Amino acid sequence: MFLFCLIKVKEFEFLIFSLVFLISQKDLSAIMNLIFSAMYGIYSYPVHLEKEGLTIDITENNGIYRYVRNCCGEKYECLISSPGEKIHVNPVEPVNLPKYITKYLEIDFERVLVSPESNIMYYLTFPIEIGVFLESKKNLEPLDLFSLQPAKYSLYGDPTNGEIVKYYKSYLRRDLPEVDILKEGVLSITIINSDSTIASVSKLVFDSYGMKVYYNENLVSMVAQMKIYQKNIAETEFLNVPLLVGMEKSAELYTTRNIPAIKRYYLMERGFD
Amino acid sequence: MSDSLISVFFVPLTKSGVTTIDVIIFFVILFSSIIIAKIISINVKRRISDKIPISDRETVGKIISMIIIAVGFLVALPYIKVDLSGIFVAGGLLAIIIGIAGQSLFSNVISGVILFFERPIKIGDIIGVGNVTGTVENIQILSTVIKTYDGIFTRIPNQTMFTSEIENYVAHAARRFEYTVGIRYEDDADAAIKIIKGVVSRHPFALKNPEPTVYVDKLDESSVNICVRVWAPSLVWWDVRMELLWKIKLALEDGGIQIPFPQRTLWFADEAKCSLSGEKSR
Repeated sequence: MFLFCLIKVKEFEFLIFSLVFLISQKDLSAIMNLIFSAMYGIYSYPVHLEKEGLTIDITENNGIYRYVRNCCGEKYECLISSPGEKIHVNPVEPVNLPKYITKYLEIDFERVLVSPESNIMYYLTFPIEIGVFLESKKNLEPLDLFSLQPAKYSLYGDPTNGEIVKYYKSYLRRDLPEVDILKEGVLSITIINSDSTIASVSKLVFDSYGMKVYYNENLVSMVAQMKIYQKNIAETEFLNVPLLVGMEKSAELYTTRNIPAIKRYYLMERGFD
Repeated sequence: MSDSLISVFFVPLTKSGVTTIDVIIFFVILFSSIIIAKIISINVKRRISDKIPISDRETVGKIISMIIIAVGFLVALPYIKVDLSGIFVAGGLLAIIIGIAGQSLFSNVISGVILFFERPIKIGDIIGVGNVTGTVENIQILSTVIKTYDGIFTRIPNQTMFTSEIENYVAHAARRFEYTVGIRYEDDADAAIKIIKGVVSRHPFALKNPEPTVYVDKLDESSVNICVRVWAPSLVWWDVRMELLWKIKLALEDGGIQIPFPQRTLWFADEAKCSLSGEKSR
């Protein structure tokens, strides 16, 4: 308990110091980010986290630790029997809620025409699902999963041969979009058109088993690329790199659930327009 | 001394001339075949362990082992001077009897093998065969086990599976369902369509693509019928179908649109006469 208080005091001191520095620099957006961030990260417990109506509490009562999460009017509770361990709160592969029925994510956006034998980088956004993991003796175990973002599913391809995909509508940007990091992440996508004709692209489908999510206090990101081989055939793949230097890598659900990921790319054979 | 010892092995034990060495060879062949059968069946079971269910794996192992032992036994028999021609004649007769008696058994096995390669269903699929609907629990060599929605264990012989129409409800990724929602004639159908589209679009599993369709389908006796067609992932199709209908009903009521009871309006040609005759009759 003493240690916990000490950590809190240190965090508070750091916050005050940072605020004073930023006020002196007149950097308002950075001040807002500093005040309203601090949800993702690794925490020793007992702990209390709160942001935008979302609260995560781990309290201790007679040696029993109780995890309570309140989010969007929904409450989830469970008991933890490992004292003195840590929890990881970070964004995870966004294909699990409200129920895991597919491993694919489709991002739909306004059609863009890509010149033959060229490559171009855009920013898109993707939905956030937040995972809470219990770290015990270097092992990570999923504890909770929730999202502030409404979910929607779709079908990639036709009903006979298609795949069910988690659907998300986004907008193409050339500059880094400002997003609510509890709801949206930023996807950097490099479209490589290796075909000799103009490619019309309006959707991307990804396999979540290869997703590499990185986060810091202000941003959740993924970096991916799309290689267009010919009309209607392209390959999407995530790159295991952060968008910005110093970002932390998220604990992944598919690795903690021991799901073997054989291939990390997705072949879009049913078109991308 | 040693010659006399060796000669013991070659002394005929029976009238047919079976010697000790013949008996030893007979048992050596028999035991070797048992050991070989064991080794081969274990290896086969290991190889196919991830391809077929446990129950079938055991059956396959036993069949292989019995065939090897039977071959070993037949190879060993001549050493104890057993006339195989007699056995073959008897075996032939037995085979004919078994063949006639076990016709349906073989038919089930062959049907099972064909179903295994054709793969119209797999374990966990929700299927309908004849009047049985449920989840496939196991596909065995002779039969397929289905757990119905009531939790009843149902064993369907593979021959029946092979010759019946199988409806696999989850073979395709998505499945469509349909409602007919009746509204009053005085209600605004466009507003009702807008409300229904809103409810459908808010449901996560009502698929974005193929797009749901909502339209006025029929001007019925008591209501304007609106047809609602929604695609949902096959795995959660039933849940979505159950949830959406009630949500649509509540949303329409919130929007001031009512689902009418069956009704008939009667118009009389001469209301005055009618009321007069009504008074007279009273």
